[in-house]
Amino acid sequence: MFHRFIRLTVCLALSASAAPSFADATLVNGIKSGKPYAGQTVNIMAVSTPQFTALEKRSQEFTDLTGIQVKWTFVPFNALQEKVTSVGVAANGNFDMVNYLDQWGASYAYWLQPLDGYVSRDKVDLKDYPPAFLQALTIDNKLTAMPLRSNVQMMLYRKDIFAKLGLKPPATWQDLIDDGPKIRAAYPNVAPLGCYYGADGNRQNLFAWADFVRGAGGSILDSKGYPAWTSPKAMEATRQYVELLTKHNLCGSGATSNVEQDARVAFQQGGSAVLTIWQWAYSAVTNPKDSTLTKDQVGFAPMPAYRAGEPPATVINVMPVAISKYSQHKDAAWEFVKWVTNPDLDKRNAIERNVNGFPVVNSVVNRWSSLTDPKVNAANDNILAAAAVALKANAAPMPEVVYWPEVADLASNAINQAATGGDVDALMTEAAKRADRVVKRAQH
Amino acid sequence: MSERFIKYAMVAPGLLIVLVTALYPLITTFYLSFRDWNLGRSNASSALWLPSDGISQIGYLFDNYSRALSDPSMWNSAWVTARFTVVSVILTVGFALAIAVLLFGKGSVRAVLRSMLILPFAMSPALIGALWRFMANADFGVAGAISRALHLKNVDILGNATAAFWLVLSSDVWHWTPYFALIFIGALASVPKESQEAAEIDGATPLKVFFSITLPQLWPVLSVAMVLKAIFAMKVFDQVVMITNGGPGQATQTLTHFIYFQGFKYLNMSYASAVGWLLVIPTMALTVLYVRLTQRGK
Repeated sequence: MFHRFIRLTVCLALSASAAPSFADATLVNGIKSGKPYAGQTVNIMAVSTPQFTALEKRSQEFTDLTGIQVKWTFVPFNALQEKVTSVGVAANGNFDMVNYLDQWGASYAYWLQPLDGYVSRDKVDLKDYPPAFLQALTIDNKLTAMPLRSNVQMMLYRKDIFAKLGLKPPATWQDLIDDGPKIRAAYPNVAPLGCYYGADGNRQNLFAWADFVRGAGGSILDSKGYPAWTSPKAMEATRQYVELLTKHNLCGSGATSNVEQDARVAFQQGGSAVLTIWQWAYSAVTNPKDSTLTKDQVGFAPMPAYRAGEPPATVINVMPVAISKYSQHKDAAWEFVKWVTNPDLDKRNAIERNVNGFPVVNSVVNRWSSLTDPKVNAANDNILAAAAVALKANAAPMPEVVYWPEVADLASNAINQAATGGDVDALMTEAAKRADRVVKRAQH
Repeated sequence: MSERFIKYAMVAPGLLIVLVTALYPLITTFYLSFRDWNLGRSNASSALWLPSDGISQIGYLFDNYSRALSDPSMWNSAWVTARFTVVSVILTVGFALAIAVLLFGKGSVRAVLRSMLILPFAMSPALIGALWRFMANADFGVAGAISRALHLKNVDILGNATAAFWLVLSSDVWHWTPYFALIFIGALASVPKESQEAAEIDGATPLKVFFSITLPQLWPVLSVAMVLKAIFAMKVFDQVVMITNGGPGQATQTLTHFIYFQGFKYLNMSYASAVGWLLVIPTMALTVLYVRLTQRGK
């Protein structure tokens, strides 16, 4: 009897010691089991967008898994840069995590928690992310954030117009130049291309310009961070970019002042036949609430290539999630980052159209596994598969340096003035001289 | 409690608000203008000069100011601001006076129109800017639609430096003219009718009566209005952001917009502080003039 009791006790003790090792098994995407951070609350500041509202609606899943409460604060995009900057300046840990545009990331790097240590400790698989997305978030060889809202430039076009005219979607810019007169002749009120050369401080006229420059074999900044856009290749590419308007008459009447949103609205109203824009805009231009166009009328394809036979150069942008160095709950915040970027959620957020009663249409994903997933693509008209093709080719982010906004505005203003009839070479050279001074001062 | 104490106690809350919201930022930005602070590198400013650097290096203390004075973008913004201020004052006061003369007097129609004058002034400048931008859009705005309907060449107002400048100016004039018209209507009521009637009896035409009798008597109010409008024009920001955001290029970038961009987009906080203090000089001069004009005769 006594021996039986001892055997039973030993068995129970062994089971009890085995149980924690089962409980120690990590949950989805490396989230720790056992709720070691239960009771903590993490605050995240993020841009106001349906994708993130849907994530907020799902946050209870994370709380149930970990016991960590999540409070989201949404900010309109126009105010986001200043709000996130003030989080860093305040340095009081009021926000544990921030979401921002990658092009501002270099100026936040000094107060963002590098994630390389967390990633290797918890064996997070970064291979599932397109290299261009990670490149956008790596500052001074340190990974400063994880992709959460990543976009690829695409070309949207009027399938119906191209079909009626017997034209194929342009594979190169020259194809579009050749198609332009045919489109104009058949549709006098439709511009062949929705151009946006406007310089409004958001530098959106630089995205297509960057495609031209990189496609031509040039670069925007050199290896030391100084302007390189006055090289012969880059200058020729810039002239060709501006000549879409000034020589080839591809653009609508608002081209010199339109920004991306204006061009998108004009496309939605049937004002242009082709629009180069982020892949998320496809759902906007086919949304019956906002657009006169239907899915039957709008097609998508990779950006036109600079030269025939070469892959198109494509710009990407990423709005990641990062952890503040001033956070009092860094580990809990990292648990949230692992959850919100997990591959299953990445897919679900692009498939499900109702999240806890909130209707949402989101076509933004961040991982290769989501970009190529059949269900994700079925829910999004296969646009993500097209984005994956572009990402595998010649995709890159805009420069990630602290002084980029000031340097970029010089280039953006110069391009805008060139589009209104100014001398391209003189304007870009002058912009480069002024940008040189900015870089010199910044690097001093 | 003495009357003096009660007086100061009544003023104290308002004074405290002014100290916190005006004096504290003024002092802080003045201090920052002599420091080095880029928000993209640090959340604290650092010294441009320390006594240990020696007196020969003291010039570094004024680095931000010398940078501003040699910055062509700053001078461009200063010139845009100066042009904007002068033209805005002339047009606003001119239109306001004309409207005041037209709407001064009895009659139900005049009374209704006077009450409607408040509408443009009651609108938020940011909303006015958004409306103006949409109206001016060449593709889907009213301006584009009118051009197409009249078979005119569609001018991209927002893409043309001169047109964009006048567009922003027009929104500012539209916003402030009713306010000053109401002030001038009140001022017209204070002009003695006897001197006007005497001039009419002597054979003066209405135009002569206006320029020789009425206008001189309105001059104290007009001069205060011009100085006040100049101060408002120098501070214009909302419409610039909403309509053109300083563009095309920097054609409509006023000094306040330039300061905002330097501080909050380019994160050059100390440089923005220095330019802000350069703007304080003409603004302070106008404020002193305003106070002197309003105190005159008291």
